[in-house]
Amino acid sequence: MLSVSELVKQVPTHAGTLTILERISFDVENGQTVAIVGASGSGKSTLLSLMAGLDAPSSGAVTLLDEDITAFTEDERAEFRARNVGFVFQSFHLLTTLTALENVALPLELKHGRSANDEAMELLKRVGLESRADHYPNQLSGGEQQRVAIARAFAANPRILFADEPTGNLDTNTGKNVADLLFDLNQSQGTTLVLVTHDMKLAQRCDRQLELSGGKLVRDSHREVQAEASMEVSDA
Amino acid sequence: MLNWRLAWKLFWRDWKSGELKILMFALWIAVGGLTAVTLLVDRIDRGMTKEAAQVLGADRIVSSPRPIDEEFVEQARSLELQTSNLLWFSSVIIAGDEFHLATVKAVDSAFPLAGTLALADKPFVEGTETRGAPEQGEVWLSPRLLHLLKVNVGDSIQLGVANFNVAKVIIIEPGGSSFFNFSPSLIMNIQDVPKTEVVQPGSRLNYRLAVSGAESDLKAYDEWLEPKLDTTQRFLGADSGAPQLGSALGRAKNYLNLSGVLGLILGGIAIAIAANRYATRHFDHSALLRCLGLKKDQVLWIFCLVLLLAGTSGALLGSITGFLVNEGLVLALSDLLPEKLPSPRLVTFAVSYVTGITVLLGFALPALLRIRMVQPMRILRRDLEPASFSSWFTIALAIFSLGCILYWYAQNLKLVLAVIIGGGALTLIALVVANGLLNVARRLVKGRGIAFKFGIEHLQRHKQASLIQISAFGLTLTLILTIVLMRNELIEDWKAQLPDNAPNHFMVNIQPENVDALNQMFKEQSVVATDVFPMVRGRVVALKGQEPLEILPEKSKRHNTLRRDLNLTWAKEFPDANTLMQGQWIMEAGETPVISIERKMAEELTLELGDTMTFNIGGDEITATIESIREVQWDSFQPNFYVIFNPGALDNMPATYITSFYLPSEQKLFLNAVLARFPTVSVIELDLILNEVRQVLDKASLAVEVVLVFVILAGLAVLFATTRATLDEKLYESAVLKTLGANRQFVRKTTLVEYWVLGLLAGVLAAMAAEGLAWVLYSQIFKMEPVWHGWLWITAPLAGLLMVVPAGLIGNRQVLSLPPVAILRRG
Repeated sequence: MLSVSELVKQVPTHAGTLTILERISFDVENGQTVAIVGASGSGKSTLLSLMAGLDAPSSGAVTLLDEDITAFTEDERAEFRARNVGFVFQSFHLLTTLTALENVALPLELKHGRSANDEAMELLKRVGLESRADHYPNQLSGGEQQRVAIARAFAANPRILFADEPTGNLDTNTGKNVADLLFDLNQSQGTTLVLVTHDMKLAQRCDRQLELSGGKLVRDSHREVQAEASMEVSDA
Repeated sequence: MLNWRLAWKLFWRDWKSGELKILMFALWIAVGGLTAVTLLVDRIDRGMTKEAAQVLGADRIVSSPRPIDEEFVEQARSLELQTSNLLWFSSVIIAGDEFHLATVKAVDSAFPLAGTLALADKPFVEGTETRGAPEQGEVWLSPRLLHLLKVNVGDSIQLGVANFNVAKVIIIEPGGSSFFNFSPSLIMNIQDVPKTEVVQPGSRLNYRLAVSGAESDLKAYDEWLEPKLDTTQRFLGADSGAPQLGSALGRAKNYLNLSGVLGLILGGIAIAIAANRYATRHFDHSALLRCLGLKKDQVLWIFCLVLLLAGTSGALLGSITGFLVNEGLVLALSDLLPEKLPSPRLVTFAVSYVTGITVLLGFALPALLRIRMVQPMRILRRDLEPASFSSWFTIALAIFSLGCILYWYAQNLKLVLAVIIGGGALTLIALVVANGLLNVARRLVKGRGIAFKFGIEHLQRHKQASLIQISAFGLTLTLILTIVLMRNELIEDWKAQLPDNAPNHFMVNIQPENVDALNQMFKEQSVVATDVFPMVRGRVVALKGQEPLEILPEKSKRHNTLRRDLNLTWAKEFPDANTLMQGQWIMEAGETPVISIERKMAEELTLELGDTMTFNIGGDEITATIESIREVQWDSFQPNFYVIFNPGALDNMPATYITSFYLPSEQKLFLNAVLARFPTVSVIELDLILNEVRQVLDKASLAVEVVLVFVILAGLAVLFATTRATLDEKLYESAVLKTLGANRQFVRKTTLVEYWVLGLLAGVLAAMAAEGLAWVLYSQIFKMEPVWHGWLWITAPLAGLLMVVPAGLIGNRQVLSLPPVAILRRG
């Protein structure tokens, strides 16, 4: 589904070249839920942006759905995102000029080029916001905005969903509700989910946790499990 | 389709939230002003052309000393133009013992093609309008001729060898005010000309073909005819009908067009600033749309559509407003305007509209192109600013669109380059001066209260934005002040040029022995007359000792002064309404002839100081040396001369005298007394045409004032756009200040200080720039004497304060009203 290979991201600064990510490699399977954790500045968000094709790496490759998206042009990546990728952001990023319904319908319209209000309404129902369909983002609470954002993320039926601190701006209770919704929809639609978070509880709900530190992948729970399994086999 | 729908949604929401208001307002005002100006100028222009045609008696006249070529008539008819054949000549008319020289106008049944011909049974009454020629055997006489010949309607006169019955008195005739139409008129049927036997080989005749019709057909005829004319033939168009209107109307049109374009430039500046803010506030939207899979060009296209929707609505509102203002003006001025003012042309709307959209694209596109360059990564890192275009590109695009528009209106590349280079230099100077002024202000407030310090420091910290604001306010104010200055000077200049007692009558053919008696009569009746000038008619036969046609370049061979007798005069004192350009005015009495000549004639005939001109005066040739060159104000309504001799040089030549004087309408009967005492004198009544000129000036003044309102509104659009442009930053700063304990009063005070300083500095800058700009405009475009305006240096800073402080406070009212938490939450 997703393969990250020898991924490096460097940026030039006044003091010389700064390496943000250093030779990161891992694979994610179809339908898996993966949490990327780490301290601030460890490179989590950069990794997410490279995996989602929002930015291009300095070297290395990202293969998503058997396509090497690092070889794509910017416009090809945009087209690829429209077809296959969904996003949920920490600060929701709803279009302030569109209603909740229109925000949810937007990816569908971009994908199919037709009005998609009915499908969007269906999704709003699933996130419990059908009564707020005609409200603009500034008329919604943070939790409601994130629910709209989740409905929007799932609207185009993406194969993979990237979430950047989806509960970061919400209180514990609302955060939990939003996370429940995210995982429920993920499960029912069979989407692969990659999320970046500080919240260890949220990370623990994922099948797999990747930990970054100083731009390096320092822990992969999947490998630990594999290692433990192989140790058990060899012990046996 | 989707792009359209999304664009429409974004547009609708942005409109409702006020994001697009300034942009639309700027375009509304700019297009409104331009439409009102162009519609009015175009309609008055066409109306005046029609009026001028009435004075001329037709849209075009071909005049020739020989019968008009048959192909000229054929061509006119094939273009479906109306034609009328006329023959003008001078002849002595005899009635009993009286005889007098008259201008005989032999006309056909189509006469007159334009203008009014009114006849009556006795002089000085209201006439009945008519068309056509007198019956054969009958003639119509002007009141003066009637008086000179001592005849009445029903009497008989003799012309050549034939007798005619005086059937009517001419009350109004087309072309009656023509300056050189010295002798009184007689109108006869062209069929009667052979029986008078006055037309003989060698007679001085003026065959005229009058042509009228649709504008486009006339244009085709002009193009066909002009190359076919020889040096003896003249072609008179509408502008030859009333030359006195030319310069006044020309200036008014220059002014109106200039104001329209300046309003447009101000609109453009406001659009650029507003579009920049709009784009900056939509970077996040762009990043999100890119994340959702839209390509760069799709995002650009969507925002272009939003802008075009806003632009189209703004420009449409502008067109409608412009039309209504133009109609209002026409209604308000209905008694001054030509009776049948042509209706507005659709093409004028289209031109203003396209101009508005061009300005929108030229000034807003650079800002929008930044939206295209937003990286999708911005969604995760808001600090990622899209690459900024080279400011050269931004400026070049704005200048290019401005250049196209200016060229479209002025059709003069030199003028466009001058405006652009001058404007560019002015902006650079403005930035440098603004920087200097800001430093001075900073030094001046040292040791003052904290609010003062904070306000000034804020300007200093955001130096780039502050300099742009001072320059934008300053230049806006400059343009407004320049327009006000121009308006005042223009109207003052018109008034000076046409004072209420401007001469409104010319008197010619005054015999030398009558000059003193006539002056005495003027004195007795308290009539104000200009000097009485001697006048001798002579033809140029040689330049620098050579035949003119041999030495002149092709374009000068047909110059007006070579094709007819010139009115020559002599004078000791330098005449009024003249300016000495070269040489010295030393006109001592003597027999060695020296002359002073008019500047344009000198240029056309390639003459310089020290060259000679030879004149044939009544068969004698006189050669004179050029000692000075003068600029002549032809529209001064005083006797003006191409050539002035020193006194004594023309002593032996047959001279008559000419003067001009002011006669109020209630004193008109004085003319009869003059004519009774000096029957050889001819009077030319210019009061009618002068009234017409005054009315045109009144019209132009009102139009000028209306346009000024548009320019000021466009200036306000710039002010609001600039204050809104820094609003977000101000909101954030004030929120932080308030959080740290600053009260509303403090925030209000710092904001006030900022706008006081901005307004004051912008005003000082505007005073400097307006003075400079006015100097250039006076000397280069309006051909007026530049003057220093002391009042400007007080008014401009005051105007700066009055415009900028309220605009700043209104534009920034949220800074005071919003609680800090509302702003900080926005992030």
